[in-house]
Amino acid sequence: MNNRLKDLRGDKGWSQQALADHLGVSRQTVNALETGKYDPSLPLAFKIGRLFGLKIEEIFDDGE
Amino acid sequence: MTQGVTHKTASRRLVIMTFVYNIGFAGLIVAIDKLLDPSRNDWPALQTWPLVLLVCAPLFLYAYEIVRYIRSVDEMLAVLQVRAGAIAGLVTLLAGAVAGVGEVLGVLPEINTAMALPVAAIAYSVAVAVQEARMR
Repeated sequence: MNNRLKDLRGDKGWSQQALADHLGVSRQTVNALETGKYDPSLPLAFKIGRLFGLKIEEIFDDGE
Repeated sequence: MTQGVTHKTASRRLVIMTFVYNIGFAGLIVAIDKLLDPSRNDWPALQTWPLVLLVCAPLFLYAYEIVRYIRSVDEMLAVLQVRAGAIAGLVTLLAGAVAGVGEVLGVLPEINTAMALPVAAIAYSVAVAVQEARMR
């Protein structure tokens, strides 16, 4: 699944660790999300959406 | 405390406890094998079962440590652990099957089933290490 997480994080000027701290996950998880190696659970996806003030579908794209 | 620090602390504890419980398990096996009365095999079943349960104690404690670890890390790291556990279970079953068939066919010597623990521990550790390296 593609996502805009890296761009959104860049816009805020945050490091991966800073974003991880905001989301309450590890830096490895943020890296895996950004590189598309891991798809988040719904609760985490909602958390990411709330953090950036966007809807889930505005951040994640399943290519359909 | 950040999630990264929590994960590092939890990982360090799991590594230490893995070592402690595996040593405990091996120690109990050796103690039973070397120190107790060799005539133990003639004991009534009711007297030998407590020994079996005693040997299982480190395994139950180790299982608790793994569950505790999975609960303390985030969702992706927990998924990695569960996946590693599944891989380790499969590897252990395959190793047991190969050893069992080899023994029946006479191409392998009789292997102590207690060896399943180190096989599972090694397979689990390798599976976790490979997956964490891929996600790093």
